[in-house]
Amino acid sequence: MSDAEGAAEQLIELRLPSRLGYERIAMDTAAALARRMGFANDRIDALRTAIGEAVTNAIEHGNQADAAMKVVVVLTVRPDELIISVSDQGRKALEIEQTKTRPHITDAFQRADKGGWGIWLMRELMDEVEFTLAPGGGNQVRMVVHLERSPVRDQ
Amino acid sequence: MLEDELTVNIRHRDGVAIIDLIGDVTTFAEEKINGAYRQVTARGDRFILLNFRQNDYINSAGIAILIGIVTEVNQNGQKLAVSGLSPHFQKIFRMVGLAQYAEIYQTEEEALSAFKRLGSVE
Amino acid sequence: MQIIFPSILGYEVIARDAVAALARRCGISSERVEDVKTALCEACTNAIEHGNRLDPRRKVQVVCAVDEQRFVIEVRDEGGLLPMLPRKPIHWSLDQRTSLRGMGLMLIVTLTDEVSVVADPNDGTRIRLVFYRDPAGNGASVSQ
Repeated sequence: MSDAEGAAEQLIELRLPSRLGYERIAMDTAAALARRMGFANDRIDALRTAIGEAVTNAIEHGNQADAAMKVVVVLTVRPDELIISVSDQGRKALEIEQTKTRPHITDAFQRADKGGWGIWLMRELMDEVEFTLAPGGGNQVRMVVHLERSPVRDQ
Repeated sequence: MLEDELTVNIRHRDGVAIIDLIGDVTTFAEEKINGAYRQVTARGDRFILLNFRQNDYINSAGIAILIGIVTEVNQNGQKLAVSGLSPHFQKIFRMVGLAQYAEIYQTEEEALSAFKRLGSVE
Repeated sequence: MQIIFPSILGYEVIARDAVAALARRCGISSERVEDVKTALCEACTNAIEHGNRLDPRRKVQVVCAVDEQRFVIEVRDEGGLLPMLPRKPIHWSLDQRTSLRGMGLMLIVTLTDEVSVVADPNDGTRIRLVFYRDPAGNGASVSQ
């Protein structure tokens, strides 16, 4: 994407109703943007998964699936990175402990609820992940992907 | 609108129950996937292949459903494998640990020949 | 759903992809999605170039609403030149001297089921594109 104006960054904002399924619009939009920025396919796949988890959390947890509440996704385009911030209206606050867990599949076998992988996946797949409060008081997660850097160190 | 986009088919080949999962594997998939698993288990199938197709969206809720299947497969003494996953989701299955309980194959054919070595064809 | 982006040519493509994703996921036929994409891009380009005069600090806002009958997209800019929509039926002719902008507006009118423009001195210009989900039926009144 040519940016003849020379600005250091540009913002694209997406506002979505809190209804499951809309996270896919955020995923598709971010993927389209990342592709145009020149990200490799594996990074785009990682981005899709991370943003899907972040928006799903905002819909289901932060906004308690109240469709009237908005999820705001801000995509900040910089020459060497893409920053994705996802915020909700904070009907329910995220406990900071939840953002640090590393789930294990053998524990999941014993539990009735086998979930809890979303935030961990975001952390594994993105270069930077930070949980803060949104300006309006909701939950906010800020994720960064750098252009031209290898993704997860899992292999 | 924005309804779930998963189609589930059950087929049998060479003594293996193949469950095709075509589309998105998210929280909406729970009934369909669990229903298909219950159906093949009720038939007495011991070898089960989850054959993924056109899955550009498997999320953490979908992963939780699959962990539920693995839990039951282990309890029921069945064998589970997966095929057709994109490189990205193969990576995620390894990260999560699913790959330790369900062998990953590129294609249905590869999975079937592996099952054959385990005795799926009698 | 809303998407807001700076008035830089090229960003209309991101809005197009977002709206196309929504339209597709709402079950709109792929042929109709192509109409939506083309009309939306023309409306966005118009808003960037003529409404916001290519000033990247000015924003273009795209608002989508979907119901059982219609897929409605509104493209808002921060003011500038009001587009003059041609009336249906459109007569395309090669020797007609039409500006690029005029061509874009003709495309929009051709591809949508309803289109209207609202200008507000405080609010900029809003162009509203309506697509019927079932093009055969629906006798909703045409506002123009």
